[in-house]
Amino acid sequence: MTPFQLFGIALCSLFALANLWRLLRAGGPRWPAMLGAALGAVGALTIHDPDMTTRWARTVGIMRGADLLLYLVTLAFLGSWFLYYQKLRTLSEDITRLVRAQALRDVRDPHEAVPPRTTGQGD
Amino acid sequence: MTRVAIVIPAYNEERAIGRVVRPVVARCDWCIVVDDCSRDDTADEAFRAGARVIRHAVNRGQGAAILTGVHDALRLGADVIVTFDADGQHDLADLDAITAPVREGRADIVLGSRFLGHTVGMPLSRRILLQGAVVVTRVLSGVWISDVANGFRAFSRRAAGELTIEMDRFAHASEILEQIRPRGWRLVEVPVTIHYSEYSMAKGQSSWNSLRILAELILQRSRR
Repeated sequence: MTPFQLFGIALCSLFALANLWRLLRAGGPRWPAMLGAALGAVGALTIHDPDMTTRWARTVGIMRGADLLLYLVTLAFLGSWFLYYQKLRTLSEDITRLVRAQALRDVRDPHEAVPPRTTGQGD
Repeated sequence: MTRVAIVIPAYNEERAIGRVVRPVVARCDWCIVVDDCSRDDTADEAFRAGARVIRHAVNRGQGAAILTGVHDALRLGADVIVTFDADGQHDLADLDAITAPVREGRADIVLGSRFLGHTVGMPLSRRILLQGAVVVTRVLSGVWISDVANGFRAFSRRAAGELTIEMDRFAHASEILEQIRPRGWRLVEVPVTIHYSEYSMAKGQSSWNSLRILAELILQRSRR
């Protein structure tokens, strides 16, 4: 095993374990931690046995493991982009609601004009 | 007596807003200008012309501005709520025609149509684009109308109260149309005149925006 493999496997295993810990202890949605744990485990396995991706690729009709990884990364990118788009839209709607609520509190109407303030000292 | 409020969303319209607002103030119970965080003097110009002015602290888009104005109009007690462009494209002479179906209880939403009425100075490319949008709208919303991107509309109080606009920018026009069938609004289209000028064309959206609107509509559907 090369030093790179040792380092990579350690890093991926730590990532997988951290996500497993999150999965067991933290509240909220569970799928990000499950996905992280799975990614870490698969990463460690493929670094340990680089030919594994080629075998998987051939199983699904793709000749090279590198191509399989490229397709998976592309799909993951599109999925992430879509998720972040949804979050951004939700955030944008919240900002609009806030802006609207504040705007409706500060309406200027010429028929409800506020008389100019005086100092009360005969000015 | 039916009380009419006109909602005018405006962004950087200081050159045109005064001339658009003055006749509206004279004709309606309320003229509400929603200044969408303009960088110029739009809000003050509209106020000086006699409009009730609401100002967004952050630019949120035309759709957001319209809904803000509609909320204010409902709060004031308006029976008919009309949306009107700030760039002088619309003709106030069409106001009676566009509000009549709501005032007479025949419609919940009235849409102005430049293709049933007149257009002055409309470029051919814009005409072709708008005709294509009619077909897309038919597919997406199931509503068959002749003009899908006309900002001159009238809502009954009931329709205005049910109206939701989640797409803050230009796609709101299609979003409004998508609500007609599910909400059971009675729809009437009336002919209106649109005046295209160098100023309004410069202010208007580019043809490429139509692709962006289509993408936004499809992505919005994925959120439901």
